[in-house]
Amino acid sequence: MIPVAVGSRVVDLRPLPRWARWLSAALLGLAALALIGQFLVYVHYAGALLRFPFDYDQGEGFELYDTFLHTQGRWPYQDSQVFPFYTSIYPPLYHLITAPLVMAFGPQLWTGRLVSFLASLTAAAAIAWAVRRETGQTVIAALSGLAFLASNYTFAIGPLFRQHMSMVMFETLAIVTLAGFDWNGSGREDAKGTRPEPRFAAAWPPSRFNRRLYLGAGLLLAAGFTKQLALATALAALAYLFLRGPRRALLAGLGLALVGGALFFWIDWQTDGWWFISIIRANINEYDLAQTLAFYREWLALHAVVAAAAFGCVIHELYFGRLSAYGLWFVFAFANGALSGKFGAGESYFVTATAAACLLTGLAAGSIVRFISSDPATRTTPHSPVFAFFASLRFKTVLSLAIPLFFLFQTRLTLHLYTDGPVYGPLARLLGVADNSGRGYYDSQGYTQLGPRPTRADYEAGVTIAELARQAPGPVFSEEAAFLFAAGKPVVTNPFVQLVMFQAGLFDPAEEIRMIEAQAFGLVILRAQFYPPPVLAALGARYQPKTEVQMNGFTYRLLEPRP
Amino acid sequence: MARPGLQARPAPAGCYNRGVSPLSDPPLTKRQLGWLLILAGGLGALAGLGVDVVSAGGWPGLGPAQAQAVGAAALLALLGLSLLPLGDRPA
Repeated sequence: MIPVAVGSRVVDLRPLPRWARWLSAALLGLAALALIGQFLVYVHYAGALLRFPFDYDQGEGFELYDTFLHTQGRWPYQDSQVFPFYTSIYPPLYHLITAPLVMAFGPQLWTGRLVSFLASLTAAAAIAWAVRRETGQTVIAALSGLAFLASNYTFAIGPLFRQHMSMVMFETLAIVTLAGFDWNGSGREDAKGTRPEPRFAAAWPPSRFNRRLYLGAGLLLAAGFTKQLALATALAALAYLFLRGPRRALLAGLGLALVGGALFFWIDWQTDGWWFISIIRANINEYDLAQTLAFYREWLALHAVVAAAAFGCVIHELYFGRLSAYGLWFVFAFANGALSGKFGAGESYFVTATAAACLLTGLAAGSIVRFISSDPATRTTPHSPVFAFFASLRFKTVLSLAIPLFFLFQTRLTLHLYTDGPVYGPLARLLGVADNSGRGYYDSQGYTQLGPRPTRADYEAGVTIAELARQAPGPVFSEEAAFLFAAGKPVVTNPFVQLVMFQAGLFDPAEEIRMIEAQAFGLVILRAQFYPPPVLAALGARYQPKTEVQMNGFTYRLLEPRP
Repeated sequence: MARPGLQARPAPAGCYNRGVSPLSDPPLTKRQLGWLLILAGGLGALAGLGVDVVSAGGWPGLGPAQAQAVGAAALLALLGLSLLPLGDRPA
């Protein structure tokens, strides 16, 4: 007999033919190898970004500035209509978590990138832990966590100095904490029979409001104060609690609203109302339905396997079982993707749905493995012809081969790797893929700005720009903040925020334009030109091109005052 | 040892007891969830259509985003309808 290790316990696949057991184990090993390979590419990418001291994704430097302000005991939520024309539209938790590193090592981009990278690993570990807890299948659990990290979207934004991945981490931890939260006291007989008792019931004494609920609620609050997008996960968690006990859910929701509301109004009071304007009103942007649909199509195409498994799980739970926290989380997170049509939104809005889908895929695969190893003779219900087919050795054999093949197929769908160098070059040729970014990087989603490693030339370009900024007299008007940190100049403006606030009628650029017309800035550094049109017009009128520098595939235009 | 007569009667498989005590907080049934979804879908569709009544829509007639919202609300209500026959099974 060949025991196939598909879990902490060696799964007994004796019912299957010998060749099927071997083949299943080999395919599972291949799937694990492929996902571990993708993980190593991710680590490589993260390592490259940790060493790169300038903005890689537009906006990273401003999040560093938010963190820097927190280290000085100052809020970043302020009136952006006066010098230095700066405010932040993100909640503070991620910046506060990163603040000790910035205090210890100075304003360096690697600090927040490291926090985000570790957050992505924690989210993946939480997914794996939940799958392991629910199914007992260690290998399937590991594949589920790795599948999350192998997603193009997780890969691209994972090691950035952005708060998104920390939000996903808190969301995942909250759902994993709350899932399986069933009070088994009197009046809750439903917990028996239709669902096995949670293994950890002894560790968490039955109670209406036990530590698990408080911890889960705390993690939801943390997610919300990391990024506003976590609202969908909070609603999913409350919906789950509502299904299990409406009164308790309403009380929990009330408590959450009270604590969250108190914090919200305290910060608003501390910032003279600029918190509300920056966090809420500035985030109500123009909406493009076509953009939303394009993002949905792309996510579904790249994550077809895990998406199908997740939808299958939800339908099964809805009609044949009980809706789980994971299933509801996926539904809410997938629906929340509709917000990706907002101006400035992007693929990152689907990372939470990816996490939920990978978790549900692990649960589905784990259940199938359990089914394969089950003995049909132990069933108490009569065997129908349909059941006989599904319980047949042939069908179980197909299933045992399908699981690793599905993981392999999913890995191919999200494939991304570098295409040059002594290791990546031959590997890319072996896999039949070639550079499609123009920067030695292949991504199955096509051309993408994020993913390629910064090169030595990119580093030197950043140093050149920073040096020009250092030599310029007075403050520098820069679309990216990292140059200013490197040059020892104050951070002035937050372009994208200005643009969306201008569009929403929340930003009057009069004072900024007055300073531009007075040529108060010694140098202007532009990349995407995400400034309000009147500001760009004023810059064009009073400043002239000085030089252009290529960095990370972008052209940085440097302007100097016209004579 | 449990004494006969004082032991709680086990719930039948696939259903549960509701309202054991005034403090009990029973979970929702499939049917209740179905009604909730029908209510939510109905209200959502009404809100979607009501956008035109308060002249908040940017399009003459039913705009594309509005049509999508009303369609999603109708789907939600249909989903609720499909749950009604599942009765008292826990949701």
